[in-house]
Amino acid sequence: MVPAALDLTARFALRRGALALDVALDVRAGETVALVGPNGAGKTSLLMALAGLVRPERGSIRLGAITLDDDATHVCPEERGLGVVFQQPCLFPHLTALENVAYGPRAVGVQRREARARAGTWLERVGLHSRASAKPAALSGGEQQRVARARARACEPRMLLLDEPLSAVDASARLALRRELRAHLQAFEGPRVVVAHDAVDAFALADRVAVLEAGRIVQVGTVDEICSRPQSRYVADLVGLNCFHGTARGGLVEVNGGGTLVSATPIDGPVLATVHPRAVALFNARPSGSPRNVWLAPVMGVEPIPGGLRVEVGGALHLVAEVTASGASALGLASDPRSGRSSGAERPREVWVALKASEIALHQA
Amino acid sequence: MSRSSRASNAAQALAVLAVVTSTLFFALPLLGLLWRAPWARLGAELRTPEVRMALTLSLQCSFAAAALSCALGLPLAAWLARGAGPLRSLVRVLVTLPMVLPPVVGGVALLLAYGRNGLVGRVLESAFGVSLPFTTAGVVLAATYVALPFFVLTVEGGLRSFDRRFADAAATLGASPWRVFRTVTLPMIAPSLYAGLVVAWARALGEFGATITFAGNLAGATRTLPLAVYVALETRPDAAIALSLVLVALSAVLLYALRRRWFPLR
Repeated sequence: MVPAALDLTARFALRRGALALDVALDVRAGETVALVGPNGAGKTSLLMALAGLVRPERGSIRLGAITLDDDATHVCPEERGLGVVFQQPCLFPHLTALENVAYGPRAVGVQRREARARAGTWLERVGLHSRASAKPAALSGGEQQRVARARARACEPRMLLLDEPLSAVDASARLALRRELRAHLQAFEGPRVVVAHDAVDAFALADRVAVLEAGRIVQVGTVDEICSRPQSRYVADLVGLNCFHGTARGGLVEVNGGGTLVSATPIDGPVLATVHPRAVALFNARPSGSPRNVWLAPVMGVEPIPGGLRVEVGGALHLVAEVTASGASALGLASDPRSGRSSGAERPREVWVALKASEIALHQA
Repeated sequence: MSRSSRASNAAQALAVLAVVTSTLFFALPLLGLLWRAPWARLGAELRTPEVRMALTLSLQCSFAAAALSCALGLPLAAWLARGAGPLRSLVRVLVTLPMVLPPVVGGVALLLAYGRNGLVGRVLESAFGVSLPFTTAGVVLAATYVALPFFVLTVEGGLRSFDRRFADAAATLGASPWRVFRTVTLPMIAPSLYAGLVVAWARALGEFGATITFAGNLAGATRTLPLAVYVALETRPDAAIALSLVLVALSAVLLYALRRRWFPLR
């Protein structure tokens, strides 16, 4: 029996220690939403509430017409019928991989032989049939993660919840596992919610991204929307943009903490100004052209990236610029890509920074 | 003198002190026992009916007490480990009491509660015709009284260090709380459970004060090995030494059983 695909509608609030979580999250069946946010923002608490391990104080959690939580109802975790993959895979150490996967079906009353057969099928789907009789301690991080996924799916859940599914996996296995995880998620017909620590994970796995900060969802959107219009410092850092909070009046932005920027965007009031690192131009001498924002700034750091350099400049406005390899050598910043160190003995201590007004995007904050 | 050589002198002094103390207090008494042991007649001493009765009784009662400690102690430990609060603190004090109370006082207290004229004993006798003092059941009760705290505190420690996320994972897979406890929690705290059982059994095996006070000293019914040692020491010291050796041998088994927990060699 394939469970009917139901949409998730969650609107709830709860407090846990210093965290006050108050969120509204909708996930359609067949859609993956990634939760991102700084540590302590409440990503795991949100997931635990969806799983029924923490009860909301107010609000409701519904799957289709089924109420999992509201003021009068709390369906306990064992009766929710959800598949949860925890951050640490939490495989039962005294059971083999096969017995771990068979645990869910056994718990809901499936006969031993049938449960083991089902577990075998799931282990085969995650490519671990040959490791069926291994104990979790004998499995690699990636293998444990796959067993945990198979275990969550073997109960035929109505929704999948994954807490940082790639965090226990070493970097070399990450890329392959991320691709595999994406396929695994897409093959599931219900709603999928993934907590991601890493922006790349979030963007690679999710159809939409929800950004959580201090217990609230500050932005929800497709990956493109989030990248092109980050609405907070955290999201901008996540996607790699330069980002300044300030107050705009007639195209002039007074940046909080000092400095001014001239923008072509006609917005007044509190704003978030974003500049892509590639739009930041660096010069050895004061540029003579049209840029409206020009100032001399100290070079704080230089880091090689594919095809060029990432240059960090300080001063009133802390910025990251990306320059091409030829641009870098013109500046005397050319570096040896292997050592990452500047090859010239006299690397310039200061550079001229130039920003076109049209490159500074303002967002109502 | 340099700082490092002072430190190494201090370490040496500490090592000497440790060896001297453990020799004087622990090794020498044991050597005394082995030195005076009637090795030639040991077989004969151990084959006497009194010894066999005491040994059988001791083994039966200590295993029964360990089993009872497990049955009563597991729910107690599970409840204690679930949180904090004034009621739990009070219960923990009550549970710990037999560990610090002189066993003789425990025996007197048991007598006043479960004796023929005791608080509960009176009701037991008149309503059910059950009398505990001076019976083998009384020995088991006295041994459980002193052994239970060791089991409860050991298992509570194991449960407190148990990672709740495993239980959460089992719950999300559809397992009821009882099933989670049975199929995940218990197997995962098995080392604590085992250690608790062994320690409780050892404490029950060596029990003397509460037993002699509450259950008396009746050959074949309540005279366990420690009681038999005490009785024999007055009249037949060789028999006392032979019985003591039996207890030493059982202790050696115990130390072997707990080797992983108490003697990590690394």
